[in-house]
Amino acid sequence: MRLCFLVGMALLLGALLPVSVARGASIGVEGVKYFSNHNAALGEDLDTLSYTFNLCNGVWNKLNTGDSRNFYFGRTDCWEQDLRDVGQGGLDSSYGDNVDLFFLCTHGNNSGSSVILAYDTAQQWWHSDTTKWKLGDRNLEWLALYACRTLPFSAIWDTCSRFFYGLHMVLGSHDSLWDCWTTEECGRDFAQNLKDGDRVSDAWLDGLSDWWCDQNALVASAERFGTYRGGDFDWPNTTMDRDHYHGRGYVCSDIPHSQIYWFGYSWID
Amino acid sequence: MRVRVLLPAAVSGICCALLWGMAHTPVQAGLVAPAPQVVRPPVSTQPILSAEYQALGQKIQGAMQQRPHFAEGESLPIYKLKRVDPAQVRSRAVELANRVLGKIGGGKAFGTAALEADEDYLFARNDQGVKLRAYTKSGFLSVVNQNRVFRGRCDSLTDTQAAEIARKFVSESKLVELLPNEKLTVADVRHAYSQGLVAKTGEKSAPVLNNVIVILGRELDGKPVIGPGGRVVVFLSGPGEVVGFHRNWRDVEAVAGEKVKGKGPAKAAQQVTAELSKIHGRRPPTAQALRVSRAEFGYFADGKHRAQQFLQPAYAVHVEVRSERAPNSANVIIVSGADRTVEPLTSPPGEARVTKRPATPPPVGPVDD
Repeated sequence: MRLCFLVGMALLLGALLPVSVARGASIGVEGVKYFSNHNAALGEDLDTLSYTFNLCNGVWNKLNTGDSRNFYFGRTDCWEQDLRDVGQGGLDSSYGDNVDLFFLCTHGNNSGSSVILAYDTAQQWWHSDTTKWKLGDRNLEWLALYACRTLPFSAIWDTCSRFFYGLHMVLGSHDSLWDCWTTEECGRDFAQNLKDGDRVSDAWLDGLSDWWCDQNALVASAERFGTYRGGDFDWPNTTMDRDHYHGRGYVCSDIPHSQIYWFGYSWID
Repeated sequence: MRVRVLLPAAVSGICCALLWGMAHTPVQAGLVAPAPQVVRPPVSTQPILSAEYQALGQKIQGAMQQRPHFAEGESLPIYKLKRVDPAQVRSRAVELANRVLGKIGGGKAFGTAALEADEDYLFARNDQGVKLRAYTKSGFLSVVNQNRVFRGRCDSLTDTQAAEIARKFVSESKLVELLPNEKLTVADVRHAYSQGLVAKTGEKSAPVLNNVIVILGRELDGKPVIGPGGRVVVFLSGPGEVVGFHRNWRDVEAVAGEKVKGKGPAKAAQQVTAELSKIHGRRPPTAQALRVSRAEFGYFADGKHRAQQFLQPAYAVHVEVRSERAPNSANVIIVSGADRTVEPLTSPPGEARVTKRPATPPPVGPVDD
């Protein structure tokens, strides 16, 4: 009887433990290298991002723990719909918002209120429209965008205030991020920093810097009223200063859209 | 009927007359056999570029010529680097980290056994949040107080003061050993900031300067070392306290026996343009849209993940294409600065290790906090 109980418990633990460990660390990675379809359709002249897959492989190889939700798509398998809210005709609940960390490498910009990300297939559009994003209402904690000028200072408010629905941080850029032989390591450095137990914001700011190319990394985080203190921020208790990768340190709880009081942002210039 | 026969004959006659008039010589007109050519013109190894690329090339060449560069045919030494011994990297990392620990953040001293290894990467963190890391292929070393980098304040520190403090720290801590023909330079000064804004109103706080980051570079026989190697990055906080550093520095063993011939900016710009044409293909940006944000010459020192045997002449051109509404791009093109290389400067980009996208989206998991 006792043996049966022990075996039963062992089976139960065996079934539960891998799930709970793996559940904390799911990732999605997408990388667009070629833009020939995009250019032909829109008349743009986007160049090949030579080191896209070096960057993406670096993240994937370091952080893929085999969670069933993990995915790594390349080229025309990367769709704008993967980040668009399911209520807006997107697929975020199956992809972008179904993992804890989503890393995307492509060309980028910002229209003033929306991050412009380029795709090489129109599934459903050639560019992202972040006014149709609602990230974190399912799962996503950290959105990492290795793309140029995703969050210029003038657009942070109008852009971020629209799509943080439980999302903790956007790891992006206030100006150019370089495609270069010496920045191809940024993906693995960022991922290694996360594994080392660095704060997520530090992992991005440090990981993207080779201190030769003028990388312009920026992190924007959702914050609560309690840390605002009339503009004298309580940084040590912010998402920016406390959030670590799952299993590597403290992870802040999600802040619902209606409870986000302020956005913090840190950058290197 | 007669008109139908005569009209084509007249047209062809007029055409022949016109062609005869256009041809400069009987040879060009194809009436006289050309003399056999003895000497063939040299075949260019550069791809023939379109007019758009030629315009881009001129812009790049102009930018390169305005900045210091190698002279065409200049005799240049190659520097042989000391071999990096992984075992020595481990012990040296610990020794150097413990030497500066008191200044950077204190806490428990590091031991060689405490370093976790992941392939060529070594890592440890002490009880005060000081992170030590090293790469055994390159000898890269970093010691950073993570409670003070990318946070805190250092508002009153000027870049000049910061550079002086950084130099003093490097010298006193003996972070690098300079040869008589070597010089430490201030390559750049960068800054880490934080700020906040209210979600409902967009009201912004004043930005806070967290760190001044001094990037010290290197000169060899008066020529700069370019690339992420050959740099010591010093992080400063507070009134001027060093709170961390990266040392990406390969020691020179000797001048290699052989010399190479320098490449001038005209030839180098051609090569850069050819590289640019590979990534832009048949849709080059206009010369107006392309911005050369930096054009550098010097000895190329690679990043922390790679072993390197030699420092060789190179050019690096940083180009950006900006647009208001369309996505932007930024590339650094690295080409040799000499007639030949003794070891490749860069390697081909990696291939994708992607998973296949399923025909239908996978089932949606539970909502996760």
